[in-house]
Amino acid sequence: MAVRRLRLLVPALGLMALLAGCGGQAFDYRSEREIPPGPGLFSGETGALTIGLGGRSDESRNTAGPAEGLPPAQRPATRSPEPPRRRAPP
Amino acid sequence: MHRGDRIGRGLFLSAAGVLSLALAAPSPARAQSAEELQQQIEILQRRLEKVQEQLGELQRQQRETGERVQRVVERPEVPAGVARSGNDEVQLTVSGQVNRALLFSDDGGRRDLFFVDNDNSSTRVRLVGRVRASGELTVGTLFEVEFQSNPSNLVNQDNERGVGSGDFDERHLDLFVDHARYGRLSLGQGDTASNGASEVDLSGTSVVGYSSVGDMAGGILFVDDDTGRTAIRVGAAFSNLDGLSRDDRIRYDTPGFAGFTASASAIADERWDVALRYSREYGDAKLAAAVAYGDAPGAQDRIDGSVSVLFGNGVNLTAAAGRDDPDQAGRDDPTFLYAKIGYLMEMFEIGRTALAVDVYSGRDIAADGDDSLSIGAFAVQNLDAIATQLYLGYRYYELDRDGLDLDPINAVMTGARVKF
Repeated sequence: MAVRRLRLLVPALGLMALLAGCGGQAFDYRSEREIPPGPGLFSGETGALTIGLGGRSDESRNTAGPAEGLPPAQRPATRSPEPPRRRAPP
Repeated sequence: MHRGDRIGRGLFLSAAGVLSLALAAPSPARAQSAEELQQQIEILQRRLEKVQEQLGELQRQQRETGERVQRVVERPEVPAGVARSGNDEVQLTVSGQVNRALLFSDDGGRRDLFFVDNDNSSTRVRLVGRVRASGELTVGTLFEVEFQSNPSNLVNQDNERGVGSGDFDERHLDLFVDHARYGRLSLGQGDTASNGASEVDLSGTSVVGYSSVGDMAGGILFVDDDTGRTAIRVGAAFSNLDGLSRDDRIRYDTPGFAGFTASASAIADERWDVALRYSREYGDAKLAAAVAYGDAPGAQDRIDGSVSVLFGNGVNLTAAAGRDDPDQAGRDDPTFLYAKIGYLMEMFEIGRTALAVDVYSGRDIAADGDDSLSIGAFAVQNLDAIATQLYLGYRYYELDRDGLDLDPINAVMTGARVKF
């Protein structure tokens, strides 16, 4: 059994190398069975209710979907959106 | 003028002059009125001072209110009166969904209608807390629970209502540390590395049908033509052999590299698993895939994977497969194959429409010699304005088991998933 799996490993690694060389652009896969990204019925455009904890808003916060925090099983390929940063005082 | 008139006029003027002198002359009564007037003026002055004080207080309150409004305008996501943290880098979000459906089943002799929670994507609530510990390091928590009343994978001919735990059930109770260059470490209840490896799907119809075909009507019992209803559940005879599910574990995920992410997790009872995931976009086409290996001593070794591609014209293809190597002596290896073809389109302005058909074939899943077959057809209509998906799905289940003559089961599910 182990030998058979090792045999499978060789073409799998070859396929990986092929895919890695194909270029392309980052694509954030999310399982469609998780809470979907995008607006919510009550939460509005952000899709999640943000409980105020003193942080200031920025673009990344407003675009952060509710899938943030999920392990890469639901978003495997790209990094999660940047967490909130403090806005520079005017 | 007559003389009489002149005399009368003189008397009138004289009387008026006397009366004027009498009124103008000082008297004790007039002096008393002046004192009262003075007192009234003093009272009015005191009242005016009080009014001025009150006006000053109102002006101060107005300034404070204006400052509060200004702060709310600058931080619109922070509603007044909500708990605050001393750390400005903290974010806590709450999201969730409700997914309810009607499920109709026909076991070959009896037809039932159930009101269910769609187990393809259960009703749930999620809280995600994140704090930026430094420029590249984020620490967070993920808390997600589901609450299913009458889950579609548990109701059956004998239990049509009141099914389910009647309580919140754990999904994710997780701590994580995420570093931009070194990856992510998770500790707690959550997805093992291999969970979901059989379930990559870009069809847009997973909410009603995907490789875990038993989620739609997994509780329905097969009926034997000769002996009547059996104890064989759809969910037991149809499995997508998907990794080691969710569990209490420690898990590591590498950062993404050219579309790849590798993961590993360790669980109690010497269980462990590894997975490799890939997702990339090539022009208008999207590709996602996963493969995993999991070792669960005393149960089985498991290898499984899936791949899904969505082309720019909306056509999409999905495939999945898996194999178990049971630790049970003499037991055949359960295997399954799954394929789906779908079409995503912008038919209506209200949202995307997804159509798909799929086929599942399993061998030795619940018992040696079992052959299981399922065919499905699905339609999902998104209603973007109200964050809702309407869906309709049909599934056919057929199980061939040695010594039994089981009737096929037909199931239809329709419902809605609302994200709130």
